[in-house]
Amino acid sequence: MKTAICFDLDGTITKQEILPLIAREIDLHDEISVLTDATIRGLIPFQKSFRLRCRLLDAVPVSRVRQIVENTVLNTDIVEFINENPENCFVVSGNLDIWIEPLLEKIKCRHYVSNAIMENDKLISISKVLDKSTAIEELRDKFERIIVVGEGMNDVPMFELADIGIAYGGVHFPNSTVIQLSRYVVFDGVALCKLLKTLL
Amino acid sequence: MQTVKNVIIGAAGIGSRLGMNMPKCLIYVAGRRIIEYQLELLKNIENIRIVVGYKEEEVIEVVSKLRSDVVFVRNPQYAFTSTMQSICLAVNGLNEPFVMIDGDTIIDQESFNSFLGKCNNTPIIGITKSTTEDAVFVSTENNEHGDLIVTEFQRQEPKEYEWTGICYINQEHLIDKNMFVFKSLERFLPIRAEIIDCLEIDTQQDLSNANRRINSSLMFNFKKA
Repeated sequence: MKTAICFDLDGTITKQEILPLIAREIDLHDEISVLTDATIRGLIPFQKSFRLRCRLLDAVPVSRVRQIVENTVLNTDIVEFINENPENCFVVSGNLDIWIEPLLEKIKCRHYVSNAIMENDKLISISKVLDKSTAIEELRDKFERIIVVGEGMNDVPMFELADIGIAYGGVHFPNSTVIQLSRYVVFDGVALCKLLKTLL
Repeated sequence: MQTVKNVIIGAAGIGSRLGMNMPKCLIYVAGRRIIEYQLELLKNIENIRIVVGYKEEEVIEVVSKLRSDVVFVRNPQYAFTSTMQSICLAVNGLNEPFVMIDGDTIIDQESFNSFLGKCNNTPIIGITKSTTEDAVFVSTENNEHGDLIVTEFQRQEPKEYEWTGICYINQEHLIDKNMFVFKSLERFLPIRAEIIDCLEIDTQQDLSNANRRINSSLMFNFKKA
């Protein structure tokens, strides 16, 4: 059976949430962390929260953001799994293409992300915030079975459409709704990869 | 050498006979939760899957802090399904033999280790001295090699031994239906038996007995809280 595995990026493949890391640059780490946490728990809608956080973070030059993103700690077990199964794996992230490009180059698989426009090293506007369900809808035609891995409220649209959901609490305890839509709940990268191998 | 790689714990049920408004695996016995005794027992087992249902988030929160690499398998239909169906959810995709344990059972380390030592690709049923009247009793005999074997499960006539809910089997020994696990195992009898010293907590009486036994007895090699 042809299986696609869709991974959330922030807090799933990365061991740190990316936006709070960027926020350190402008001394807004705690504030952005609060927003990020509330968004994962579903207290603020993702689209609005994400646009707001980007607006706050656009003071940081894009080149500096990319440096920070490049140094984000990754879960090496998950990255290794993706690199071993590049045809099956996808990154599905609400984060901006112009920011996370260095990570996508390291992870080396196809991806669905949000799009932004930049000019002179500055984020000008967000052209599209990814609705994660569109990724699953597109993959439906090419794969017989879709597995999704994530933990936050913005993962819910892809969990609703997936065949197998895995709530992964690598950084945060997974959102309750994500758990309700999951078949498995896992907290350890090695255990996650072993589980994925039994499902592939 | 440790040959058992996989253990599945069934912890989805309500435990209504105990009536403590809490999943049985989280109940404290002699100062520690039942699941703590089990995870201590299983510390050398590579893969642990726990089926959760009733108050699943409480179980997941407590257990993930005790051991982070547990895989939780959800059974949202826990109120209407059997232990067998819960275990079948966890077995899905697991092409290796596994040991199955109920989430309400406290097991003596030494006798469990000896049980694990016997697990070598042929099924084994864990039995224990009968203590209750409504148990699933087993008829046993010694085969030509002198091994203890289970020849029958039955609930009518009390026997010396009862089933513990513990067994070493693989996927083919189960049927994904709302029925008792022993009914499915019956199809494969006779099956080798191993005696395991353990306590199942079904009722308040069982809980008092377990508290007393662990607090006072040297039989159980449990670290007290």
